[in-house]
This record gives sequence, structure tokens and C-alpha cells, in this order.
Amino acid sequence: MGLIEDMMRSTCRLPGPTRPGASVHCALLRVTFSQSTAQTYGYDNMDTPGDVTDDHVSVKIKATTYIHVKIDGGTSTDVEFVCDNTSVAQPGAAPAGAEFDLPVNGQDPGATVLHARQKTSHTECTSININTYKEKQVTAAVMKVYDSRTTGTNLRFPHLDVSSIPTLINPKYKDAVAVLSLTDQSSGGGAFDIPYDNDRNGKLTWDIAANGGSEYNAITSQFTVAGQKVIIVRDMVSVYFLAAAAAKDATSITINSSDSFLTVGQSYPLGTGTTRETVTIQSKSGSTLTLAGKLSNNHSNGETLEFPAGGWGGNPIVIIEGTLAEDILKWTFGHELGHAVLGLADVSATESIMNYSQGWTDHRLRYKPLPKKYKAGTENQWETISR
Amino acid sequence: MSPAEAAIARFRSGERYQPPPSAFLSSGHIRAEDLQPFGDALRVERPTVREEIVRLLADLGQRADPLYAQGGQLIREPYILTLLVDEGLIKDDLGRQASLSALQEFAPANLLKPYGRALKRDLEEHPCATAFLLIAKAKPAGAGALVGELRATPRWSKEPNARIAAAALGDTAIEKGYVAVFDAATSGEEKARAAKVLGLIGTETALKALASALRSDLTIDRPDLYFKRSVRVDILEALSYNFPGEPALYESQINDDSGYERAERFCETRLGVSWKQPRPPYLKIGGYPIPVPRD
Repeated sequence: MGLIEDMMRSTCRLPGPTRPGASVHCALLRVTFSQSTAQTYGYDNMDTPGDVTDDHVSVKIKATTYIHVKIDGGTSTDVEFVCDNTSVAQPGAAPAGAEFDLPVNGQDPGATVLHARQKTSHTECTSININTYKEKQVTAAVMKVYDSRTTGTNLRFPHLDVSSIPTLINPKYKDAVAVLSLTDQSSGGGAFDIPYDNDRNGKLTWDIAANGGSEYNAITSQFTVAGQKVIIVRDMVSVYFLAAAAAKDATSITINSSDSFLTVGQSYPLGTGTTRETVTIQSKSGSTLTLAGKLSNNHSNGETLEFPAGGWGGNPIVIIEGTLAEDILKWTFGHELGHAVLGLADVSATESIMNYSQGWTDHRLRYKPLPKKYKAGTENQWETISR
Repeated sequence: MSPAEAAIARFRSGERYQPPPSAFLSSGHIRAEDLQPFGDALRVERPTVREEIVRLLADLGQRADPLYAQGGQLIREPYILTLLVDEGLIKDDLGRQASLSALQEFAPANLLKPYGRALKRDLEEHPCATAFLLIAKAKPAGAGALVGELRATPRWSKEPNARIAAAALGDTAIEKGYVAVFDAATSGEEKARAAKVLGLIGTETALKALASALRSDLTIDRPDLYFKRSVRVDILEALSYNFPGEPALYESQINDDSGYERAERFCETRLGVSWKQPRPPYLKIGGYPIPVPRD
């Protein structure tokens, strides 16, 4: 709350150039800033609802947002609203009365502080931080893909309404003055039938060593528009391939990558069908993996060692539809494009669209630094997105 | 109600533009008469409506271009360019900001030449960060002096985009400094940032510096964002900003090493650069696995 406590005690110091020790008698006046229901961009109270002076408001260049103002002991005629840097933001005219929404107009990108001061004495009543950003346009084309040769590739939401996704996400993206625009690659809104499932496993088989490989390339060759792209498939499996046959009782295998994502101590499925088994990596040396135990079956050159991935970043981003509910699938667009276009990291805080897990319900983008999930440190999401 | 009038009505009701602008592309090409209501509206509508009209026009202009299907992101349709300059810049508001961005990002420099005087006047009357970049791209005659005058004022003396404009308009000392930063960059992130600036400057010297680095083996490796990108993609993007009609420079046309070879061939011919080192192993943009479950 913004409170001129010293006013309550009848004297307070004048700001700016004045005689040392000069003071002025102040009227009883208390000004409180808070989030307005009419705000057009973001408002972050930094989780300190008792202190408005650390709150942050975002606004777009040349746009207007609103801050709620409540004046106790006076009206808007008793208070002046001033920004430190008027080239960053400027308050508009305060409406009449003791409680109103104050317009704040974004100017050029930057940060400034909006002060409420008593008009006659210029005494500070309260302040709030204003951040002006250039709007970040997040644009992407979306292709929903299946392979009619394999029923397992059929999408659960082949007519997913791509145009409805920005409607869901933009109210959150605008906290950080970003806007999402998606184009469905299909003019009719349906899925593309692309013969990609060459191994007929009902999944997109991602050849990790080849950065996607032949099944992925079969899709991307049909998806050549500029800019960021997103592919939706029903399911996906990410694999390394055995570079040499491995016999039953062997304690090592060789894969087609010398720089794998595999982790020592972790277990991974090897092979398919009746000879499928789980192997645990004891150590790695280039493309050779030493196993914690002996193989139970013979495996041919080219069989797969599966690596668990929930999708792949890059361009196009691959999103797995799986068994996701439709709304969670839609939120996933906001999350993954948050990485790819806005440069935002996964966070462990549950109140952000960038929370690492699916199924969260609070999707804000925040000024308050949030702890990163997979790296040390925190991230101020508004500031990570370039002004 | 025409498609344009219907779109304007939606924008008046608070809707934001969402692609694609199918109603204006059904005949396979843009018809000026279909867009005329937008021109009228840009003169009189409130800022938020003007902004969305400009966003629609900018998207339409790109999609209507013959190079769009190959990955081109450029606006060459004369009627749209005229609307963006003559009506988009008419008021200093959200619509102007959107017009400045669209022109700066997507209008080829040679097609901005006829609007040089209007762009100079716009910068003079309402200097802003994006207007400096647009003037840097258009490079109209006499703009160097205007940028110099603005840079002499406290408000714009530290503005990075004003400095870029000065370099673009003939300040060779500043240009040299930016080239030196680019040449000295030792990380992918630094190189990419410096490449973007050289692209915005767009002088022959800047473009040659960019092209000379087309065999850089630097990468931007961001496992936390699930991607790894060759900095050559950033360099190509900076070059493509200046040669938007050249598909060999489009990221979407780089699908194997031959794609980089075609881009190099263009740079050899157009800019006269050559390379002593071999091309690095092929990489455009690679992904990292998203943890399971995403979790």
C-alpha cells in the first residue's frame, strides 16, 4: 500500500532542490495503486501485496494501460502523477474523483517509475514501476500430420482449431507484451496425410544421431514455409540405432552416435518385439556403451535403443499429441513457442506457462524472477524477452 | 459488407488480427479495390484498429508474394507499400509503430527508395527507435545529416538504433566498429547479435563482412531452450534482410550442405567474397529432447 505515514504525523520533507532541513506541513492524504480490471498488459505484484512500490506494470509502445488509484483524504485534484522518464511512459489525465483507473501511456522501450505526489507540496505518496516494451510477435505455422498407412498415427484432434490457440494464450502472453499468431498449414483445418511412418510402428521415429532422420524429413520436406513451424504427431519414439550386432550375453553395445544424451546409471529399452529388453548403462566411451548386465537376447545391427523424449525443440518443434486433453495440447503451444521464440526457460514455479510440467493451471508470464527448472538461477520473463 | 469492411468491424470490436487473410487471397492475387477500405480506415480509425489493419496488410503482402512459398518474407505489392507509408505513418500511434515495423522488416530496400522523402519527414517529426532502423534500410539521400542532428540531442545520443542508422548512412568509423565487433566475436551468441546489426546497417562493407563469415563453425547451443543453431543461420538471415528476393539465402532452403553451397555461390557472385577454410560439418537448427513427461 502507498501510504504517507509521515504526512499522518503532519510533517514531511520536500523532494528535489530545497533548503537543508526544509519541511512542509502536509494534509492527510493516502494514495494506493493497485491492479486495474481495465489493464491492457501485465501487472506483477511480486508476491508482496503489502508493498506496491515493488510492483511492475507492462505496457506496449504507444499503447495505454491502466492502474487503479484510490485516494483517501482527497481526490485526483490533490495528486499529481509523474513519471521519472517521460520518454518511456507518461500518465494520462487522471479522472475526477477519489477512486479511478489512471491511464498510463507507453512511449519508447525502457523502464521508469510512476510517482503519485501531493500536488501542493510535491510530497511522494507512492510509486510503481512501469516497463514499456515493443510488442514481440510470436508467429508460427502449424501442421497436423498422420500417415494413412498406419492407423496408430491417426490424430485424436485432427481438426484441432489452431485459430483458437492464440485466443487462449494471448491473455497470458500480453503480460510480457507478446502476441501469438498461428497459421494452420491446412486451409481446411484438417491433418496432412504424409507417408512418414516407414517402420510402421505407428509413431514418428526420431533418429537422434541424424537430428530427426528420414521420417522427420518426410514431414519437413512438405513444410517449407518461412519462420517457426510446429508439427503435431500422435506419438513419437526417439532412438539410437545399433551400429553393430550384439550377441546374447554381451556386456557392451555400439550405437550410431558418439555423443549421446544417454545417462550413465539409467535404463533404456533395446530392440522390439519378443527380444525387447531393458539395458542399464554402466559407462559410456564414445559410441560404445558398457552395460550393467549381460544381454538376454541377440540384437541385429540397426535395432533401436530408445531414449525417452517428450518431443524435440528446434524448427520445426515436434509436439506429441499422445493422450493430452485438448486444452493442455493448446497450452503446450504457448509453452514450446515460449522457448523457441521468446527465449524463455523452463521454470519450477507453478504459476507460469513456462512451468516444466503439463497440466498446470496458472499460465502467467512474470516480472518476478522465477527459479529455473533445469539450470541454476532465476528468470525474469518480461526482461528475458527483448524490449 | 466487403471482406475489408468485415475485418475493420472485427478490429473495432477489439479483435486482433489472426492469420491467414484468406478472403483477400482467394483470387490468387491482391486486388487494390479489395483493400481500398483499409486505406480509408487508416486515415480515420483509432490506434488499435489502425494497428490491426497494418498487421493484416503486412501479413497479406508477404503471403501474396510469389516467393512466399519458398520461404520468402517480403512485401513487394506496391499498393500495400503505399498504404503502409502514406496512411500507416499518418499519425504517431500504434498504427504507425506497426507500419514502421512492417516496412523495416519486410519491404526490400530498393522499393523504399520512392518513399525516401516521406520516411525522412516521418523520422524528423516523430523520431523513434524503429524509425531509425527503417531509415537505415531505405538510405534516402540526405538522411545522414538528419540522423546526425538527432544524435546530437540528449534524447537520441545513446540510442543504439540511431547509431546503426548513422553507420548505414555513411559514418564509416561507426561502421568499422561494428564490423570489428562482428569479426572478433568468439561465441555464437555474440556473433549472431553482431550479425544482426551488420544486416541492419546493410552497407557493402557490412555485407562483405557477413558473407566472409559464412563458414563460421560457431553455434548457439541452448539446451535449456531445446535448440542448437549454427550461427550461419543468423548470418544468412542478416544477408537475406538485404537481399530478400534471393531464395538461396532463405533458411527454409537450407536442408543439407548443398543449401549452404548455394548461399555461398550467391555471395561470391554478388559480393565477391571467398573462403579459405572448408565448410564446417552441416548444421542448421538441431533440437534437444524435451524431458518426459513434459513432463
